[in-house]
Order: sequence, then structure tokens, then C-alpha cells
Amino acid sequence: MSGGGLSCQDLTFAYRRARTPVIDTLSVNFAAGAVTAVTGPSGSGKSTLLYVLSLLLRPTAGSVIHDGLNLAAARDDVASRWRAREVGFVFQDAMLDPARTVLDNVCEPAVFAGVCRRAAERRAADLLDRFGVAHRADHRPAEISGGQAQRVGLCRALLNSPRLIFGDEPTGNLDSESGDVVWGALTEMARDGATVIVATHDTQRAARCDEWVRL
Amino acid sequence: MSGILRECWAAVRARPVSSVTTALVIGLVCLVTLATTGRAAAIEQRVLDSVDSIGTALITVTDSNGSAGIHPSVVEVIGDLDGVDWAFALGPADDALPPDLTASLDGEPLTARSLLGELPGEVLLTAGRSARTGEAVAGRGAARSLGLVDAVGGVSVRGQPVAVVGTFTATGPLDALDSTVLIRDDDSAPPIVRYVYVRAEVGYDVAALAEVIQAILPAEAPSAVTVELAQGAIDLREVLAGSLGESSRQLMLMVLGIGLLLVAITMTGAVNARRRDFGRQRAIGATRSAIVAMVLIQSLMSGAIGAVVGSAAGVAVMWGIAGAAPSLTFTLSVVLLSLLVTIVGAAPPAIAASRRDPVSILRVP
Repeated sequence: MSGGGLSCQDLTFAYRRARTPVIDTLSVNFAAGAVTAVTGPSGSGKSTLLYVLSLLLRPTAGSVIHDGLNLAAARDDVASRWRAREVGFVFQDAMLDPARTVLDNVCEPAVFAGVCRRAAERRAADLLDRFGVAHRADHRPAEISGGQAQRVGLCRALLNSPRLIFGDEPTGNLDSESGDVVWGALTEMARDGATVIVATHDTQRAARCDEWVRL
Repeated sequence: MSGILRECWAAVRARPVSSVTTALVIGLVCLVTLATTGRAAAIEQRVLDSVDSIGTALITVTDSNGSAGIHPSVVEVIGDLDGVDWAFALGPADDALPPDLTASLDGEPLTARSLLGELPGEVLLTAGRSARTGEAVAGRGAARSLGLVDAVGGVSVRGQPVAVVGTFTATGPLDALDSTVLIRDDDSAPPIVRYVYVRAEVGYDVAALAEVIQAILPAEAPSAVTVELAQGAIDLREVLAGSLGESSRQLMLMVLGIGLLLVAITMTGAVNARRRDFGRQRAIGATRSAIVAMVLIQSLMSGAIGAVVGSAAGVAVMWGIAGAAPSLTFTLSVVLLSLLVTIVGAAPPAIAASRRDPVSILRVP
């Protein structure tokens, strides 16, 4: 994984019918190879910033630049394909499909990135092994613990070797041991060259990150 | 695309409740359509077959005075026309007598006629073989009157003995041939043609074909020839086909309409139950069109299973009720229509799933 980071210039986002923007002319450079923590009180726009940076929400104004391209006005299908190829998402709730096995859940992003199933299964097996949940590959999400589910969610986010990783309170529901595993993995991904942006309430963790954006 | 198909099939298997419900709805649509409309179509076909047995597709060319001079090549000329299923011709009538003139005929006097061309499927050889040059075949009634043993024997025509080598049964508009002996004359002495029987192909315009035949008929005096259709039967067929077909179509539309509504309700429920899945998939890179495609393909997969099972059950039910299976074309049409219903019914919830804001689903309160 290599390449430039992600940056935003004068980024503004307001929900429809809202009088004041949630994000107001924010300019930040999220460096490649670094973990950037985004902190702030509830309602300050941490999650919203991640959704705007990942183009799930479109900025009201300003730009989102990756690899020198401003993606803020990209068509929806272009943005989706960009997310499939370049972005990994770790949610607060692991957001696993309860009807599918752990292995199927981890392999899901490969479908949208056009990666063949066999290659995806090999990569998924490696990731599950790396995060200590390989023995749960054939289980359903209801049969594993919350910490294991979050590690499975992490495996899914890393499946396509994304250059951008967004974590939306990824350790918010975890005990400290499972939280350490997730933070360790995100740090490791950054050391491999990825741009990692994590919204968190945990200021102690944020202080240990390479960069810290306070909203 | 194969990845999407694989994912869809895995999703169909992983969600048995919604998949089975969709399959059940489509299966019921096929079953009810075949058991109602299919039965109506079978009855319609039976009524039309009865009308057709009068000869709605038959064109009869007649030289009633024997003065038209129809050329023996007429069978070949007409047989080559577009829309002609078959054609054969008969010569003038001669008396057919038992070879032993002391024997008496049983019933009506018999007629022998020269035969040009091949006998059609409506004239079924039931015993013996086809006549070669100088031989004859006898209708079942004629064979009985002649007292033929094992369907073979002899007959005297124009004072000459002729070997009868087989018997036939004529059905439908040609059933009058049942009491006739048909002689295959020597090619070197082609017979005079008095009647030409022509059948139009299914669905062909019989009246238009009759006009073409009248125009190209190889005859010395075409004006002496009459070309006849069973116009009354044709008109009756059109009226029956129109009214019966209309009621069948209305019934089918009603069943398909209800099926469409049920599929839409089922798929709306299934899509609503999977809001989180679609939100997650959008976040990890699914385009809107991919979401639409996946919902439609999953519906189609479930629907196809239901259509196959429901159609098989519908054919079985129809067989049990009416003693006849619907035609393959009709059954396949019902399957295709039910799959179309699946797509149309699943499309609105699929589009709604693709348009839903993923962020509202991903947010944890």
C-alpha cells in the first residue's frame, strides 16, 4: 500500500433544513502512513466527517482530494467504485450479515471490487488467522462474541487492502483487550502505508495517534 | 458478474424465509394460471379443434363439369406455395366393383378415383401399405363393403382388376373418402383432375391463399373451376377464438395482477428486513445499480424455482381435472410471464433499497 493521503479543503457539510453546518470550512491533510484521530463532543460531526470524506454524504461545499483528484462532485457510481477499491470501513457496530458465515462476511467487499471469490477466500483466511478468529470462519455472527465480531469487521475492512481506512468509533463497544487488537491492527495498516482516520471519544488513544483533529 | 450471481445465490440460500415466500407466491401464480387459464385455453383449443374438423383450413378446388382441364402438375404447383401444409388431387369417379362380379356390395355403391400426390396425415393408413403405380388403397368403409380380408384384395375398375394393398381411415373434412377406393395411376397416363384438396398451414390466411390458388391454377379454362372455403366455419372460428381468447386473457391478467401485488408486498417486506445489509453494502462499495441488480436477481432466482415447481404442479392439476396437459408453448409462456411479474414486482422495492440513505442505517444512536 502506498500513495498519497486524503485531504479536504474548506469542507462544509450541512444537513438539509439545518440552519448551521455540522462541518464548517474544515481543511485537513490526512497523511498516508499515519493514524489520525478525530475527536470531539457528541454531535460535533466526527462520524459525519468520516461519511463526507468517504463520499457517503456529499459535501455542501469544499473539496475531498485523493490522489490529486477532487472527488467531492464525483458521480454516485464513481464514488461507490472508489470506495470498493480504496476504502475500508470499520463501524462501531460490526455490521455483520447475520444470515451469512464469518467467512462470507469478510469476503463481501470482494464482490463489489470485482475480486474473484477464490482469491478473496485466501485473503480472508489469512486475515481471520492474523486476528485470531480463523476457527470461527464457518460460524454465524450470532455464535461469536462482540470482540470477535469487531475483529471480523476489521478483517472485512482490510480484505481489499484499502489505502484509506475509516473507523467510526471502532472500539466503542469493546473491552480494552479487544480494543487494543483493533487499534494495533489500524496502526499496523498505517505503518504499511495506509491513511487511517478514526473517530473516537477516547482522548487517551487519540493522544497516542500520529495526528489528532479536534472538532 | 459471476461474483454478483454467486453472492445472490448465497443470499437466497441464507434467507430461506423470504426466498421460500417469493418462490411460493410465484409457484402459486403459475399453478393458478395453469389450473384456470390453462384449462380455459385447453377448452378453447378443444372447441376450435372441433370447428377445425369441419375444415376451416381446407380449400377445395373443383372442376364440376370436367371441362376446366386442370393440369396434373397442379399438386406440385400448389404444394410449393407459401402457407400450404399439404395438397393432393383426385380424378373423376368410377364404379368400384368386387373382382368377382357375382359378389354383392354391402351398403352404398363404391367410388374409385385416381390419386395424385401423397395422402395427408388426416388419411391414416391402418393396414397394409401405400399404393404403388397401378395399385389401390381402400377407405375403411369401402374395404368393409368389398369384404377385403386382412385389408388386401382386389377390385374391378373400368373392367380392369386392381390390387388393393392397404386400407385407410379418413378423418375430419376428408371423412367422405372413407367409402372410396384410391388408385395410383400409371405416370405415363396422367389422370384428369376433378378435385384438388389443399390445407393451409396453421395461422395462415385461408382466404388469401384461396385467391392465390385461383390466380395461378394450371388449367386450360380456369374460369370453369370453383375454389371453395368453409367460410361459415371460418367465421365461426374467428368469433369463438375472439370471445374465448378474450375471457382467457382477462382471467390470466387478473391472476398475474394479484401475483404482481403479492410479489411486490413480499419483496418490500424482504427488502425492509435487510435495510442494514444494503446500508453496509453501499458503504463498502456497492453501486446503486448493483443493489438493484442483486435484489432483482435474488427475486428471480427464488421466482424461477417457484415457477418451475408451480408449473409442474399446475400441469399435474390440469391433467387431473381436464385429462389434458397444456401445450409446451403455453406452459413456457406462463413461466416467462411469472418471471416478468417477479421482476416488475421486485423492481420498486429494489430501487427503494438502492436509494435509501446508507448513513441513516450506519449511524449507531
